[in-house]
Amino acid sequence: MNFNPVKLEILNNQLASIAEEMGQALMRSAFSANIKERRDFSCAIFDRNGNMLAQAAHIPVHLGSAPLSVKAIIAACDLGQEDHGIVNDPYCGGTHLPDITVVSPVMAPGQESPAFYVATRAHHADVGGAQPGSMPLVTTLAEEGFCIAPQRFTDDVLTQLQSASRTPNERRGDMLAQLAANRVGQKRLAEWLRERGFAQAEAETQALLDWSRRMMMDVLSRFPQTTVSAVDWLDGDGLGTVEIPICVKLSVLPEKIVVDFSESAHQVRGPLNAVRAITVSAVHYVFRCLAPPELPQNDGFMSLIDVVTIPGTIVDATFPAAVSAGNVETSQRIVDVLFAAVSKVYPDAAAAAACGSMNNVLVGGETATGHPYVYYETIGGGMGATRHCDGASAIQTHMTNTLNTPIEAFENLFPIRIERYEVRRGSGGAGLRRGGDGLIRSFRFLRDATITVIAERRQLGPPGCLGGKSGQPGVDKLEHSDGTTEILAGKAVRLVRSGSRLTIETPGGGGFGAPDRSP
Amino acid sequence: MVLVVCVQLRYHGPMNPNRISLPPVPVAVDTGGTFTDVLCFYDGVFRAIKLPSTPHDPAEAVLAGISELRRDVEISQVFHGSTVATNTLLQRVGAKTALITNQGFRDILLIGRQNRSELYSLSPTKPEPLIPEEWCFEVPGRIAADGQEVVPLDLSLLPDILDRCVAGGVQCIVVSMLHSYRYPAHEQHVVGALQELVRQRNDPPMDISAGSELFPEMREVERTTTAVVNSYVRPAMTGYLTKLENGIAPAKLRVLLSNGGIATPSHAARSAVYTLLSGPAGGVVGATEIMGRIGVDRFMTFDMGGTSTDVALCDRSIPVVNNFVVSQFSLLGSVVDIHTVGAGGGSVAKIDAGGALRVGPSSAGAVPGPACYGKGGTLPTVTDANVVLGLLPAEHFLGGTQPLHLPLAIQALKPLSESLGLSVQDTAQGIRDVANAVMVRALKVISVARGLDPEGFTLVSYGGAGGLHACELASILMIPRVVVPRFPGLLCAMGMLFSDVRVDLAQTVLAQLEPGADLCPATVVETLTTLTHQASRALDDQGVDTDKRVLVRALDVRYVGQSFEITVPFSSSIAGHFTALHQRAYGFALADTPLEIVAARVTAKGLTDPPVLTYARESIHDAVPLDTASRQPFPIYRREHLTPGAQIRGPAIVVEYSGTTMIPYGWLGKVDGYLNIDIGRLG
Repeated sequence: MNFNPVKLEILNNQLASIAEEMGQALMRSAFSANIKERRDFSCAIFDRNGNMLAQAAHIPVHLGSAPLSVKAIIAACDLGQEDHGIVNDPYCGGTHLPDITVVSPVMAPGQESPAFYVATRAHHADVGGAQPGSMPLVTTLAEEGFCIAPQRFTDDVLTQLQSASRTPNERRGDMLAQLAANRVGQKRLAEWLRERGFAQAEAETQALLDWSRRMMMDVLSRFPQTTVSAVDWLDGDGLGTVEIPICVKLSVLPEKIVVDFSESAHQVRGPLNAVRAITVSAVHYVFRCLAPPELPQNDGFMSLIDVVTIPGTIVDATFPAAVSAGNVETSQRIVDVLFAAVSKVYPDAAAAAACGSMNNVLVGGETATGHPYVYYETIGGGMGATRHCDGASAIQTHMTNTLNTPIEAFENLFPIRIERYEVRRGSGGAGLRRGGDGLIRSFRFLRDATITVIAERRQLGPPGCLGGKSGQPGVDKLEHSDGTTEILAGKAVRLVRSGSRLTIETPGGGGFGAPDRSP
Repeated sequence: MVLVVCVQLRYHGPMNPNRISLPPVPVAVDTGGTFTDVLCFYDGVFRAIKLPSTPHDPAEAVLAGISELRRDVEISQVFHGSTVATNTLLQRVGAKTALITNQGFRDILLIGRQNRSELYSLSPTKPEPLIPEEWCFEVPGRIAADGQEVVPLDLSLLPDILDRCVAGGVQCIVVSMLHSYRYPAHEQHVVGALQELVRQRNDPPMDISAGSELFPEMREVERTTTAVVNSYVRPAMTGYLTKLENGIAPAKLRVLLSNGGIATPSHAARSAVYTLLSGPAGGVVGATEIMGRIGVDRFMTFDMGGTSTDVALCDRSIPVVNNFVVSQFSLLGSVVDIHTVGAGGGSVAKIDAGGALRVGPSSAGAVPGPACYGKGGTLPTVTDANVVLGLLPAEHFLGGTQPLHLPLAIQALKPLSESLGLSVQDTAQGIRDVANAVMVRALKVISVARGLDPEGFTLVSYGGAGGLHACELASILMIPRVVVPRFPGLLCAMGMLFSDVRVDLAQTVLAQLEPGADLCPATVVETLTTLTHQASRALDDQGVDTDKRVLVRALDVRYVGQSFEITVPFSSSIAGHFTALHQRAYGFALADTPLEIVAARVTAKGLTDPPVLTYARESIHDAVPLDTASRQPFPIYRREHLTPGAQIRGPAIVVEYSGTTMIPYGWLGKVDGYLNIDIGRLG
């Protein structure tokens, strides 16, 4: 079916603005700082087969993997008009346990089964497990927290989640906020559907998916038909395995691209394992970056890309491996290695590596009034430089785009004081174009607490490109209340006493081009 | 030297020739990038002056217009929409400003919220901070979230900081410290100490302000950014308003704010950041008045001036947002939601590096203006293209007071046409098509990009250049109806005559309300009373009569644990009202969770006496074109001759003093009882 381009653009934006409105409802009614202040959530709209039709521009790592959650819900339960589905099981539609996805159906008038779905995915600051924040240094999924297989959302699930979590009231409020957002989406999408009828709506959304596929086809047509490969390494899993390779082989075929991660390392003991959904999400992100900005935000183009992974590897972990950091750290390295490969066939995409870590800090304890709290934050770093541009400093890169917690909001909520929040000057790699500088954030603990730090690029800094220098690796320093100082090795869990101070210095981005050449 | 053009714009009845017998009248002045419009209304008559803006000193044109008007009438008040703050920010020519923060936080502007605006870009960018690194200073001292001083304030560094500011020629210092939205003591001490130092040392005067002064709201990044932008534009604004105030005395100056309300010059200068969208807000107010009278409540405004184009979408009310972005800066404050693009009639056409024809953002501005003005401009502009295409009849521009030179326009387009290998005519059409594409994109941002189909809206076209493009834009976007108000080039100024005095006050209170309790805590009631008194005093200052006042009290409420509030009108049932609103917005309510009253708000309005627009019965008839017998390709109609009920079938051109309207083939224009041209697609 042919559609007037203006009408197609309106349609695309109609769906995207429904997703935006869902995001507003979620942010405004949520209770945890991670959702309401940092906006660590995403909202999207799906067709009845679970293809993503539109998204609000939120968090890349969520968006590329969300379709698998929706498909898992579709497979597991027949949702009626009043039902919602819920899932966080990384081995069945989820990514890591803190990310809980709620899926709600939208029925066409007179039809029994859903015509469309809306979904929200939000990062819940604590879903149980060995350490506050649910990203502990453990070896199995069971120790990471409460696992929800794809199922109908019931009061029972909510009660179980609340009893597993260290912050049950916050969980309830946040889950209600996710439902609130989904109801907003359902209402708007139902109105939209009523205006055009199911047949027309399906034809139009198919046209949207085709549009995205055609635009990506145009991008890929500029690639020479060849095979290239690249490799990069993760520092280590925090439990003894170091220098873990992620390898990619990129083959450009007529009208298709094969992205093959078969040569990557076996899954590891520690929680760095990524489930396949994350790998797909990282591939989605990289190709999305290559397309012009007007590419409609849907899944249509993914049919042009085959992602090959072998179960049991670091990029396609199998049960019962621990996976909490695969979502936040391994995803970033998959992006680095894939960009390295892509730039060999598409020099416009050549860029130095960015920060390469989400620099996760998790803290749990009690406030002065005896209320339990859990705080989660990811800290930005330096962006890698490109041929035409220095890398931006102090910014969230690639797979995440969460905001910082405003210091004033933070200190009103938690018994911790922020003592420094600065640009880490000189940490960006030198080059014809400089890498962006990282950040420094210092936390003074006013009461005893348990902290977890999960960070990467602590051994070697993010590599430069075409002669550019590497950015500085990150440093995580813990000054204990007894006066001793400890450098944490990128991944650590510690009990800290009141008065201790944790300082995170995040990596700078790599430089581009040899520094001595004049621009 | 200022060229003064003056005409009478007559609605009905003869103009009163007797100056003495008239009471002093209010005047509205809108400064644009190209023209300055001066407008007054009395005795059923609008009287207007349109004169070239004087960008080197915008007050020059304003004062010239005022003194011209004064020959005939006495002036009571001057309502003014100013672009001084906007231009200062856009061109980055504001005051040299320094920032003082707590130790450890001098990078607050550089870091921002650490997120990026482009999700899928290999080279995301952040806006260049207004304050260079060397002027971001720190002082030891820290107040915690509960108000306790946990690090004592150390003022010993201030003399050194001040030395460096003075040596660097810094004019403004913003002191922004954590938790000052509620505990401003440190900020105030630093401000006081600096002021004292400046006095003792006899330093040049320095504008020193506290970050929490303007918007005492939590979240340090947005609050500091707003305070810094405010200081950055304030000296330019203050100097400008002072000059105007002196120049128009004894008439009183009133400044239009970005929220569509009116304020005193001292208030406007103090919160200069609030005037960033002043002029365009006037246009939206004016359009809303006019559309309201003809029963249209869903419309898009299209204000195409010489230098830029402003668009807004009104869906049953004037769109107001509580934070806004200008020049990539996220700012606090309620403003009319306006989208601006840097293209207008004076925008210059050129061929870019990729060989494509581009229009704007550089503009021929007021001086020298488009080539066809014959004032020394040689670069091809959109206006020149319109002259070449015969859409802008040379002898009728600005009521014939500003002749347009076709040969100069052709000459300006020649180099471009040679590079493109096109005829001058085709080149002119190309420029027009590109300009239309830029405008279509702007209109899409406020409609299509929000999922709203333009087909459901009417396009209201104003600004001198708007009428020449509006119908074509409507065709592209499938908009069925275009309205061109009477005096399209003066609508922003006209809107100012309809604006009310408006004072918005808010104070953070952070008081808890237990579940089930409805009684508002005494501290909150006290705060509301204090704010009400402040608001009343502000209205006193602005001379608003007591019977013309409207005061609205409200509270921002949320559940304890949430970060965003719902504004609830103040009543005896706060909790009940909040619960109902929360249930409606999000589909849930929590009976066991206490509420938190975050802020108390008072909005005070002083209603002004707006001009009374008269309506005349429409009697359907065909309008009569001018008998020019010239080489014009289309019949030309003079707007002043059109009476209610007149009909014009496109293609046709309607000329008038403040703008030109083109009705294309397939469209029919009807003049309504308010003398708007209401244009609809035929068939």
